[in-house]
Amino acid sequence: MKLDNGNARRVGVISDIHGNLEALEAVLTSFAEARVDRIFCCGDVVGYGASPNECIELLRRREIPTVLGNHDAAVLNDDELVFFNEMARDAALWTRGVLTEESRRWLSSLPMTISRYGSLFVHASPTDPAEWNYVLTYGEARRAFKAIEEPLCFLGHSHQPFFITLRFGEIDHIREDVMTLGENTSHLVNVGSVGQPRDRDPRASSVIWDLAQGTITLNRVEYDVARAQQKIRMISGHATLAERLARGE
Amino acid sequence: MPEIVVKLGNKVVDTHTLFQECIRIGRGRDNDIVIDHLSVSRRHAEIHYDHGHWLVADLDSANGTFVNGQRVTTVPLYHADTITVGKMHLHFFDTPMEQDDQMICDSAEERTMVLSECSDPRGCLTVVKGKQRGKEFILDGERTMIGRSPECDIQLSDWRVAKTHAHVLRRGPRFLIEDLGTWGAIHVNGAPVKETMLREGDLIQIGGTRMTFRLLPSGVRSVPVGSLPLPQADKETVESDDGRGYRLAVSTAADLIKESPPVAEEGEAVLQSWDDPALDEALGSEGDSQELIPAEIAEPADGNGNSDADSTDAEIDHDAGEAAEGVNPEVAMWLQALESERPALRRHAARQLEKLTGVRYET
Repeated sequence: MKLDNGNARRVGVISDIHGNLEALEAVLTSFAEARVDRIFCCGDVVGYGASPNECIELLRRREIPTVLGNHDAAVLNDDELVFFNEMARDAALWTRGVLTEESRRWLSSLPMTISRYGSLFVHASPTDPAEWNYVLTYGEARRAFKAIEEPLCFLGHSHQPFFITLRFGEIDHIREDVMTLGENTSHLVNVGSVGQPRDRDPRASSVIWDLAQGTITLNRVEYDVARAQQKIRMISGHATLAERLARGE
Repeated sequence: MPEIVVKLGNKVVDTHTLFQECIRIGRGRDNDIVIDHLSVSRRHAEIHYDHGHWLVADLDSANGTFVNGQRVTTVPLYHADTITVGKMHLHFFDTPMEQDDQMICDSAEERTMVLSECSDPRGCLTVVKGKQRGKEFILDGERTMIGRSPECDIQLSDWRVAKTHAHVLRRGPRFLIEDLGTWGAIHVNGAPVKETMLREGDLIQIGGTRMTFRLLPSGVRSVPVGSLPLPQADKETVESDDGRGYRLAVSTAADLIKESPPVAEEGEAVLQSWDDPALDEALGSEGDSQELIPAEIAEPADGNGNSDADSTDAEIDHDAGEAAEGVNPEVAMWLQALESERPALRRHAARQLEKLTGVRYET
């Protein structure tokens, strides 16, 4: 599959950082080691974690194109809070309180989707990005494919990474850590979560798209979970938010 | 992917998976399916994909191309159609669509096992109908592949069986059979199934081969981390008063435990095994007369209203902290998910619960 790649050779894609600075820094270090030259972010920079401003600052300074996630939206807008459970709502309200004006302005500037290098970056299902629907089932994946024109779409939201392809009407779940991009094929990539993985692997999740090789590789990195937990415990009464990081749940 | 099985009379000559957009059939060597038979033209027919359909087209062959006995020029193909070129029959098997509500990520599959040094449960499949009648296959791995391919652990010589047709996964003390969605459903006790827990005496049909399942006696049983082992009850669903079918019949579970007590070395920790206090509590102290798990399993323990699941995060929040004390958090989590507004999630939760507890839930 040939895509217009500009000058980039390796693209790193992150999502669902959720204010976890320790995890974000570890992923960015791994990207540097893998000689990633462009980075995109599929949203949910804040919420749950203890370092929303620091995470935003890092993305801002490195000019990482980022789309809006539902937790980012909830910090800006009360309407979005309606759909949140108690824990997520408390986290969003805390984040709202500590967010600097600069951070808030940056979040407000985020688009719903970014189209670059012939691929689409979106937080939730591309069927209607502002509805924040999950892509958890094959039926939802099929509907997502219908909504995209690009042969490749990166998303997050569910915190569970996957590679799904559509070829000649057939959906296929690639159960490998590397997916080779194919001709006549559409690809849906959930990059997983940097700051709060929920696939029972506590390592921070992201992907690296090698444009020359035409491959996308799942990138799992260990980070200082204990420190991220300690910081969450200091700001939140929800012990689960800290505990789940160690379990990857 | 659809598959073409080429047969001459009853003999399978070739099988071909439709990986590309167009395949050519003919006597000439440059065809994708070469049929070296004088009744077949050099370039006889082609099968191609167009706008969501597989089509077969005759390429002005001398003897014509037939689909289900009718001579055709170009027609769409459907599952189990028979294409006839010359004396050859080509059977077209289309892959059934994946289930719309089937979950992409099943993290339960990743569960690790404890007590790996103990002998694991083993099962046995005995062929009772088909070419390999009388043959016994032992299920002793985490995953046993069943199919026509020589790479499979259980190789069935049956052309109606796909190369990799199904697998049997060990789920703690039990075995789960799952159709790999190639073609031709698997039947358990006469009903087509996508996946099901196997029970003693189950009759499994794959293609034309029929097998019975039985558990082989073994020593200590290992249990998945974090799972509450509630073996199969006699009755699959016990209707509770509210008609939701949430509660579990466990009257036979205690019997099963008595049958196979854990054999651990003295002083060795049998983590989460059959003598897990959590299990005892769930079964009642003696596990004899108690038929229903206390109702709090069916309800969120904290009662803080988390069960009126919001459509955003609560549905996949695995909050072990909300589990009732003594109840497996995963069971509690899926029970809560049964209340979700999302039908797909409810169905998935029911499947997960069945895997974990062996009891079928209504959604």
